[in-house]
Amino acid sequence: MNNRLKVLRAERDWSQAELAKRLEVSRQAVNAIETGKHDPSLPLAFRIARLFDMPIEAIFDDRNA
Amino acid sequence: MSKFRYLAFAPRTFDLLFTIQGAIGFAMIALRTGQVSTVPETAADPLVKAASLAGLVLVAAVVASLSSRIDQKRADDYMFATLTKSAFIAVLAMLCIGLLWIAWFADTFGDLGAVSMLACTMASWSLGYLYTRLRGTTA
Repeated sequence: MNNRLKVLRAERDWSQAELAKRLEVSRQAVNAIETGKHDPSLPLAFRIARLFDMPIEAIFDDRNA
Repeated sequence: MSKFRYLAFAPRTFDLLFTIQGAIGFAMIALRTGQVSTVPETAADPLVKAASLAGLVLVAAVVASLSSRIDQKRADDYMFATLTKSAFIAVLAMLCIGLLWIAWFADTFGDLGAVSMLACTMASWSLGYLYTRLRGTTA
């Protein structure tokens, strides 16, 4: 699944560690999601969407997965 | 996230645990090779043996189910997916090892034995974990 997490994080000038802290996950989890090595669960996808104040489909796209 | 939870369920902690587990698993396989399995002097009552095994399966399944609940609550999304995928790889690997051993090696080398089964499970779970950490949970 493609996602815009890295772009959104860069726009806010957050490090992976900072984003991980805000999401209450490990830095490795953020890295795995950004590099497409892990698709987040629905609860985590909602947390990410809430953090960036965007709908889930504006962050994650499964059409070109 | 508390400091304890962060450290106890951090990827680095699991990396260390699975490195140790894999090393022990492979060491057990190496040390077990060539050893003759011990056979009890008196033949066990098949019914008692079957009941013991069934009881063990039941208890172990309950304990494993409860511990997986703890892991799911405490570990983060990525780590839990990594653990479950690597466990799934280990179970499939063990099924293949068991079947292939019976089909091709049992006549020559004898039964695999409980210790070797345990060692193979530990080693294959660690390899599954390594694969999942390197390739990700979607690979």
